[in-house]
Amino acid sequence: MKHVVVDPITRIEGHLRVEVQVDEGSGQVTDALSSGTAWRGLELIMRDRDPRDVWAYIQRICGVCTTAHALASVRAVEDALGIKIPKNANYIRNIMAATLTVQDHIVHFYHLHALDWVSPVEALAADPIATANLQVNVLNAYRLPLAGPASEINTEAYPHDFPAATPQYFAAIKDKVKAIVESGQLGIFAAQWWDHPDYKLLPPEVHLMAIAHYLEMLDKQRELVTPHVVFGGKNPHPHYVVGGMPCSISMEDGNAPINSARLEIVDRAINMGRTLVNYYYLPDLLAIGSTYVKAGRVDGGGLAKTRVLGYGAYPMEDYTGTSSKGGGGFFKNLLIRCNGVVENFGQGVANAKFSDLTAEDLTNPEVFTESVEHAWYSYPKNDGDPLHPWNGVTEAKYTGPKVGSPTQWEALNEQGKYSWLKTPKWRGKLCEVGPLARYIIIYTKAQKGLLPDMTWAEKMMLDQIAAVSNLLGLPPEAWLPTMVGRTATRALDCQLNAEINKFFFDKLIANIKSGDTKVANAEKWELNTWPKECQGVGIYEAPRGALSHWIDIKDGKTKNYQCVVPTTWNACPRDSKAGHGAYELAMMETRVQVPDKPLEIAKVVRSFDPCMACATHMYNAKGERINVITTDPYSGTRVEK
Amino acid sequence: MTGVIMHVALFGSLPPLDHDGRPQQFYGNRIHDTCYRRPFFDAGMFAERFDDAGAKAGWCLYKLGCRGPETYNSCGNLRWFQGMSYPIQSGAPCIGCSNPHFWDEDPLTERMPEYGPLGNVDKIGAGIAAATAIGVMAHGAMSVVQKQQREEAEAKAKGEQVNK
Repeated sequence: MKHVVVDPITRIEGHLRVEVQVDEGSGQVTDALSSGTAWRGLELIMRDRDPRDVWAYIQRICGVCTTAHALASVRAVEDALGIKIPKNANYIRNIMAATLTVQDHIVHFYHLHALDWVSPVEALAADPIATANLQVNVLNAYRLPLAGPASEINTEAYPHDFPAATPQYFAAIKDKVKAIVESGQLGIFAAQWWDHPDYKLLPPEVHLMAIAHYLEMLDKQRELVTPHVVFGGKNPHPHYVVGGMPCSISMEDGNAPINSARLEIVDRAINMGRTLVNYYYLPDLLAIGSTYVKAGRVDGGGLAKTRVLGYGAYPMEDYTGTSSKGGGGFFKNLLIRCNGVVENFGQGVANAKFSDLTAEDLTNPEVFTESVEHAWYSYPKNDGDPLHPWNGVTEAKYTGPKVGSPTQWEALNEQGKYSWLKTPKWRGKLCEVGPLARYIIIYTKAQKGLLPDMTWAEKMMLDQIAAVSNLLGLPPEAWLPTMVGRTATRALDCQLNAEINKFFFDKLIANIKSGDTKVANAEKWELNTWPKECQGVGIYEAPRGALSHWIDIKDGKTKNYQCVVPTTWNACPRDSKAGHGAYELAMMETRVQVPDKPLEIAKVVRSFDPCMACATHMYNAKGERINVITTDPYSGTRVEK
Repeated sequence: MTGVIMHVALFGSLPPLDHDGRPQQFYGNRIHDTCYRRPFFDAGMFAERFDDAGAKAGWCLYKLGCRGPETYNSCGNLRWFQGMSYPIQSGAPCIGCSNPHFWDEDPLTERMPEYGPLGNVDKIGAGIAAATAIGVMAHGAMSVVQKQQREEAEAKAKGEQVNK
């Protein structure tokens, strides 16, 4: 038995450490531990702030999930005050959210995850002519030509962003990669186990094609976020305002924040996103994923087989309130009704159980809670007690590792506290969240007849699942709750969100055309219009999954603020009653071929799109540490024996 | 960031830095001085509320809490995404996110906060206006006195001449 530690796990956002116990004979992982190694504490900084400012400060929790936290925050304050935002503000926020999802998924797949699947070293053996032919074949075989509703606004005559399929192009990329590899300074390709057997699963031409697209997307991803720059002034951290959006619309003022010229930029970015997903991301992903599935790699499902959670996505029209206190309007007109929990999907959809998620559930102190039994926090009474986020407490209690010093950890204490993440629960149980959860929920609801009057987006999700099942020759139950399924549904979600982006852009244009240019509701702007005390929750299906912000307002100030973020759901420490979180279970369902090079562990953890930073430490059967593998791009790869 | 990397790529050295170690090229100007809405400030044309007529017309956001007058950054001259926009251009007042005291300067949507014993910008402005008025009056008074003195002196001189 080896104890393997990866700390930090890189190519993610933030700080994550994992420790696994590996049986060297079978490669089976017998225990796995996921630890968030950085203190957040931003919730404490929100205390006593003006609730109208919180979005600006809390958004700085992260530079990758930029816009997501601002959106959840303004929604929380608007829920507390019962503010109905104008139609245009709802459309614009939805465009910004869909834009984030498209850009975030593309960046994650190409720049944070692709190098677990493809290697620049393998690409050197590729024949440029064969790669050009492969590019054509991949587009023919793996493109899923699904689209959103028909649109009257068609500003592009042809797809502008189409992959190059010439031998000259691939030869030039190959020369570039060769020069990097031969220089010995791998730069962006440093810190990886390039001799791992997984890289031999794919032919060299797939490696070269995907590496070429990796480089292409470095450029393109920048242009995808321009709607944030137009509507919010910048990216990262675009600007919002409680009650709507600050970007006033006028077709009569040349100096207006939003006019036809500005909308043209947004239109271009949206169309670009649609083409990039359809011609690069989905075909690349499906070509790689199907090879893995055909090689029998359908592991790493973990908690997805047992329990997934979604909040529901995209309010189609203006609404009042999220929780039942605020009116619960959010849930009444959703484009994607993935609000709910699906249990036991791994046993087939017939045996799966669906539980609805309602506005009342948000205010019920029994439904959503966080506990800190294994987290470096203390609660006023008992650390194992569940606390509803409105009554949440952020009180640090660092206890150090099991082996090592407080600053130099060798092994964390799985019996005690070992993470800066709390353990969030739904009715006392742990859940996986993210694109995979959304697809499992919609598929299960549809199969059980729980989706009357399906929206175009829900239909598209079912069509996508059917197309991939057809391609892989497997039923959805078999491929969805796996590492490949988690990665594939992110690509499907990207295609879906590219169309959602277009859908809300068309709605925005139609509404402006009808004469409505309002973007902000200032009725409750002044503090003297507010109740003495109120509470609100803002929810958002972020790229990584269910995100919620909870605010308790007293005398016009923030009395308490809590964020329950997707990565907390997935990467949380274990719980004596509820068991392991999604990362830990997924790692425990993954076979490690070479314990010194736990690529499979890094790959399955990255399949969640972790929003934190990381390393793997390895221990043998006696619990002796074998290696600490550091993959920090700044200090370079090093293996401590 | 990109500007610094490009500078290193082009010139092989770090760009000139200010006393806080920040590249001068990007932190040398106040947002207020590079703001394309500055003429509206000078003309006293302000958005009073989010999404009012002034906001639609792209007038100055000072009264909505804009921190441009105290923030040194290049948002105004470079703008984000190769000149596409920056918060003010998108209708959002600058929140001074690169200010050392950004985290202590809320409420962000109220006009700029107190500056020590001098008070806020309005009070400082009123003070300056009052001081100017006093100055003008003093100047006027002095001028009158000086004029009398001069005339007296001239008259005296004339008298002396006459007497001669």
